Amino acid sequence: MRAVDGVSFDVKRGEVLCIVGESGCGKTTTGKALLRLVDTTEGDIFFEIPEEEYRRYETMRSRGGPERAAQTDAIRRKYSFSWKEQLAWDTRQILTVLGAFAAAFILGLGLPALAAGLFRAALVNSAFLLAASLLCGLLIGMAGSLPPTRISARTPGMLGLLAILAVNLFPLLAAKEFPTSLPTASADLFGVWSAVWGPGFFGMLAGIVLAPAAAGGASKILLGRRRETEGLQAIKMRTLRRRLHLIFQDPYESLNPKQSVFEIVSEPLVVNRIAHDPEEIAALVGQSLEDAGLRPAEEFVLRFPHELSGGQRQRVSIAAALALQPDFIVADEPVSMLDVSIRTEILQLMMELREKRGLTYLFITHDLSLAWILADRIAVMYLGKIVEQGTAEEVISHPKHPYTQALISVVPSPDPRHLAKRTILKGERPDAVNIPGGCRFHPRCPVAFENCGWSADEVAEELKSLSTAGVLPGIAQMEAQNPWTVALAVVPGTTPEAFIETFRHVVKEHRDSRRALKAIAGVRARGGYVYVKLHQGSEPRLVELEPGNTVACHLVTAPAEAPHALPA
Amino acid sequence: MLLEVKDLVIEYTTQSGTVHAVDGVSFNLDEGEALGLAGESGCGKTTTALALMRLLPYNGRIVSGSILFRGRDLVKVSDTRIRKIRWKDISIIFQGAMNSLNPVRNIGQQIAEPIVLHEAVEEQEAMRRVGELLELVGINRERMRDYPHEFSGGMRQRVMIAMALACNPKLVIADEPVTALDVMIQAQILELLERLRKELHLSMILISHDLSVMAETCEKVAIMYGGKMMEIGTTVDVFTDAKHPYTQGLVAAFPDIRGPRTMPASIPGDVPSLINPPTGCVFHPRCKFAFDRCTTAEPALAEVTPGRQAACFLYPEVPEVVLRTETVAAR
Amino acid sequence: MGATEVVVRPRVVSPFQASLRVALRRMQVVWVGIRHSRTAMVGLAILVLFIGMAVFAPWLAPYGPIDRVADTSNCVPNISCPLSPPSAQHPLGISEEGSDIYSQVIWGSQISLIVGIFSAMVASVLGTAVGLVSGYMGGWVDEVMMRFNDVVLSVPWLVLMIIVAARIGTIDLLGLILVIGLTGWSITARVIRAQVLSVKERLFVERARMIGSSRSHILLRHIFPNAFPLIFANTILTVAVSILSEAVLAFLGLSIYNTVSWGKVINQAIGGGALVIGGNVWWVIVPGLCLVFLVFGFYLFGFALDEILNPRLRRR
Repeated sequence: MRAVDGVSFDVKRGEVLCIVGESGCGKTTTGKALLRLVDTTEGDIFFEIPEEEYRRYETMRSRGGPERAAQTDAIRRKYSFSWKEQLAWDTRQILTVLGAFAAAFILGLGLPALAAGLFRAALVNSAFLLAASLLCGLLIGMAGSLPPTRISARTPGMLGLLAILAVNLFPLLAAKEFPTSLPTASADLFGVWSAVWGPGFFGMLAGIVLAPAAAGGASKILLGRRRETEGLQAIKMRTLRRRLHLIFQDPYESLNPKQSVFEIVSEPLVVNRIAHDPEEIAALVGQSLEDAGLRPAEEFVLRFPHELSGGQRQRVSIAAALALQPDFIVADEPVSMLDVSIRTEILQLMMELREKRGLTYLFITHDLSLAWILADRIAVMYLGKIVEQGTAEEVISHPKHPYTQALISVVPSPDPRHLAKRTILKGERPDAVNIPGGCRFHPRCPVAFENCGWSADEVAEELKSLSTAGVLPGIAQMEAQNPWTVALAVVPGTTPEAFIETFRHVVKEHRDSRRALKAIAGVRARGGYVYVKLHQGSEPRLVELEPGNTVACHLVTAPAEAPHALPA
Repeated sequence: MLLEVKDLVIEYTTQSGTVHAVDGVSFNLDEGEALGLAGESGCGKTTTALALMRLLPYNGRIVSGSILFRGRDLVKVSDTRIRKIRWKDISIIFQGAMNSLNPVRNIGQQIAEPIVLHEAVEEQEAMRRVGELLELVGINRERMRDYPHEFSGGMRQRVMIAMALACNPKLVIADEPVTALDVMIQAQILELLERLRKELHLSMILISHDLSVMAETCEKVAIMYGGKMMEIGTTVDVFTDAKHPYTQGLVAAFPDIRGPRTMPASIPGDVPSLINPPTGCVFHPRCKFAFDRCTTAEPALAEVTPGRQAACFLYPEVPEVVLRTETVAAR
Repeated sequence: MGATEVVVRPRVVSPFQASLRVALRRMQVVWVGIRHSRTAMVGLAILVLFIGMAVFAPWLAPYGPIDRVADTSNCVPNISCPLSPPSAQHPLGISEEGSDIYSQVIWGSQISLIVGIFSAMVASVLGTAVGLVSGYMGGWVDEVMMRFNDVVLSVPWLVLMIIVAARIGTIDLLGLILVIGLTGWSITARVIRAQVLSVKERLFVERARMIGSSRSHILLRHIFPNAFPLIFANTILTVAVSILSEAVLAFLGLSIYNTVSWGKVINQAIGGGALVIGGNVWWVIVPGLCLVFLVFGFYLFGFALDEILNPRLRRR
C-alpha cells in the first residue's frame, strides 16, 4: 500500500509551506517521513542543498549512465537523509562471523581441556589458558563489530562481558554438575571454579582480565574505522535530530504525563548530550519556555501536563522543540485540537518564532482556512499525490485542479453572507489499497473526461447502473474483457445492431452527468456480441504552469507523452 | 413555540467540588427552526442538550429552571413519561456517536431497536422502516445487514442520523455532528441534515464549537460561555454585528477563506473554571471592555435590539441577575 | 537569526533538584488519594496492625516460637501439658510439641510478612524485568521469553513450588523466599508486558524516539514510569498471593525449620487433632483468621492503590 507515492516538494529557508488534504491523503505520513519516524521506501530528502548542486543532480539523473550514477550518488550521500549505507550481511561476512565464534568456543573449551590433559605443569597450563582467553576475546571482539552491528560506544563493553562469559561459563557447566542446593551454592561456586581450572588457575584469572580487554580493544578499533567510513550516516542522524523537529497534533497525548515540564523540555538536551552542566540546562530550559510564551518560566517548570490547559501544553511542546534550536519544524495540525480563541495565539507564536529564530515551517493541515492565512505556498494532496502546488494566493483564489476547486468551495466561512456555490463531491475517497488507475481523482471528478484513465471495470459499473435504472435495457451479460474493452451479450429479442442504436443514444444523453461514459471511444458488433472500446487514459503529471505553480490534471495540461496502456 | 428553556441551572458533583455547568440559561425554539448552540469547550452546551432529554450522568442534576416542550415541563415529568418522550419526540445524535455503535450487531438491528422499543410493531415492519430510513439518509438499503466496521466515518454518521429519526421525532439535537469528519464529508452530512429538516419538517438544535458550520446551516444562533448564555439572535445578525464582546472575539477568531489573508484575532486568557467561576460577569477577566460593574454584578440575558438578546452591561437595557429559587431537582 | 541575550535565571532549579521535588510532589498526591479512599484506609489499618504485631513480636509474645513451655515430666494436664486447651496462662493452648500457641501466632506474623513481601519483591523484579524487556524489544526476544514464560505457566504452580522446595532440602528463610519468588513471576511478566505494549504506542514515546532518545532511555524514562503504577499495585497483590503460597507450602509440611509460620501452626493443629470433636478448635481458627485478614488487607490496599495511581489522574 503506497501511502505516499512520488511526492516532491521543496521548502526554501524561512518559508512556510502548507500541505493540505483530507484524512488519508498521506500528508501526516509525509511529515513523519521527513523526521524519519516512518521509513521511506524510495526517494530522497535533501537538506540544505545549494541550488546549483540540486540542479546538477536533476540533470544528471535525467541523463543517466553509470558515471552519472556515481556522481548522483555522491551528491545524495552528501545532502540526502535517505542515503542508506549498504549494511546488509553477505555470505562471506556471515561465514566469517560463524567461523570466528566457532573458533572462539573451541579454543575456550578445547584448549584448556587439552592443556589439562596433555600437560600437567602449572606454568604451561597457565600460558595456554592465557593465550586461549586472549584469542577468544579477540575473536569475539572482531566478530561482534562487523556490520550490521550498530556503531555504539557500549558495544566494546558488551563484547567484553560476552568474552568473559564464553570463557568461563561453558567449561563450568560442562565440567561439573550444576550445584543441587541453591542456598549453599554460593559458597561452592568458587571452589567449583578453581577445581575446573586446576593448576592453570592463575592463568585463567589473568585470562578473565585479558579476554574482555582483547574483545573491547578489537571492537573499538574496528568500530572506530567503521565510524570513519560510514560515520556520515550517524552524523547525519544527529544533525537531523537537532535541526528538524516535529510538533504533534495532540497536546494531551504528546507529553508524558509522568514527566514534569522541566523534564520534558530538557530531555532533548540531555539525550543528545548537548549540555551537561546543570546550570546550562536550566538556563536553556528557562529560555525556551519564555520564548514559547510561558512566562515566568519558574512557575511552569515543576508542573505536570495534567495541570496545564491545552494551549499551555502545546506551548510546552514548542518549547521542547526550541530547546534544540532547530532550523526546520514540521507542524502536524498543531492547533486543531485547541479551542478556537486560543488557536491564534499559538499560530502567532509560531510566526513570531519564525522571525526571531529564523525558522522554516512545514504545516500539515486539513483546514484550508488556516493554510490561507498562514502559508507562503500550499501543496494539495489527494490519495498520496500532490495534485496542485503553488503560492497561497494562486491556489486558493485561482485553483486549477478540480479537486482543489471542490475542496475550496465546501470550506465554510464564518460569514453567513459568503455562501459560495458548493461543489460537493459524491461518494468518499477510495481506500488506499484500491487506488484508481490513471488520475487518482477521476472517479469523483465532476469534469473528468476520456484521458483521465477510466478502466473497463468502472465503465461496466456505470453501464450496469444504467441498466438497472431501466435507461439502457437489453443487456443480458457484461464483462470487462481487458482494461480497455467491455464485452456485452444482448438479451434474446434484440439484435446487437439495434442495441448499439439505443446505446449511442443513451450515451450521448448521459455523458455529462455520468462521466465514465466519456471514456467510450467506440462500439462495435461482432460475432453476435457487442464490444465497447475505451480511450486509454494516463496519469497526469505535475506540470509547471507558471514559475512556482504546478498542477497535475489533463484538463489543464496537455498530456506530456502519448497515453500508454493502463496498468492491468 | 416548540421548546422554551427558562433559567436552567445544572450542577455536577465531583471530587474537586461542585461544577456549575449551566447557570441560568434560557432560549426558545420554534417549530421547523434550526438553532445553533455555539461555544468553546466547557461552556455547557453538551450538558444543556443532555438535560433536555434528562440524560445527565449520575453525578449531575437539574437544580432549577424549566424546560417547556410543547407546554409540558420536562424537568418535572416522571421517569416513565420522559422515557416515552425520549426518541419519540426528541432524539439526539451524541458527540462521537459514530464510534459508539455496537460492533457485534449489524446496523439494521441497531436502527430498529428504538422502533421496536417505542412502538409495538413486528420485526418485519420495523425492518421495512429501517430500509426506508437508510434510503432517506443516502445509504443503500441492501447494506442493512452490514456491521459498523464495514462503514466509513461519514457513513456511520449517516447511520446515527437514521437512528435518530427512527421514531419520527419533532426535535433532533445534533451534538458536534461533523467535527471529526473531513471537510467534504462534512459538507455532505450538513447538506443531508438540511434536506431532512425541510422534508420532514424537523426542528433542530445543532451544537458545535465551529461557527463556520453554524453560519451555513442555522437560522438562529445562541452563544454560550462559562455555563451562561451570552447572546442569541439570527445567524446573519450575530455574525455580522455581534453585540456581546465575547461573540465579537469569537467570530473574529475564525479564519475566513473568502476574506483577507490576515491572522485572526484571539481572546487572551483561558476558559474559566466552572467550580470557581469569576464573580460578576463570567467573561469579564478576558473582556477588553470590562468596567467596574462587570466585576460585581452578573448581567442577565435581555433584548437589546428587536430579535436580539445579549447579556452585557454595555447595553443599558440589560438588568442584573436576581437570585433564583430552588425548584425540584431532577436528572 | 536574531540572538537574544540568554539571561541565566538562578531560580530555575537544576535537573537533579527538579527531579527530587517532582518525586516528592508525586508521593504527596498519592498520599492524599490514599487518605480519601475508605478502602485504602481500611486496608492500611489492617496492614499496620499486623506489621505492628510482627515488629513488636519479641515484646508481645510471652514465649519464643518453638520454646518448650511444657515439660511432659511434670505438667498439669489440660493446663500446662502439651495439647492443652486454652487457659489463662496460655490463651490459645499448648501445641503437641509443647509450645505456647498464642506466642506462635504472634511470631508467625513475622514469617508470613517477611516471606510474603520479599518473595513478592523477587517475583516482581524478575517479572517486571522480563515484561519490560520482552514487551519493548518485541521480535524474537519477545517470542523466546514468552514461550519460556508459557512453559513456567503451564506447570501447575503448586506442583512446581513443591518440587523446587523439596529439591532444596532444608528450608530456611532465604530458600523459602527464593522458591516462592522464582516460581511466581510469570503472571507479573505477562501483565507488565501487556502494559508495556500499550504504552509503547503512545504519542509521547514516538516523540521521544524522534528527538533521539536511545532505547534504554525510553525504557527507563518513559515506559517504566508509566507502567510503574501497575507494577506497584501488582506487587501488592502478589504479596497477598505469596503469603498464601507460603501458608500452603507450610501446610503441606514444607515449612521453615527453625521457626514457625501460620501455615505451620495450622499444619500442626490439624495433625494435633484440632478439628476433631473435643479438640482445640482455636488452634486452627486463630491463625487461619489471621491469614485471611492479612491477605484481605493487602487486597484492599492493593486495589485502592491501583485506582489511585491509575488513569484517574489523567484529567484533561
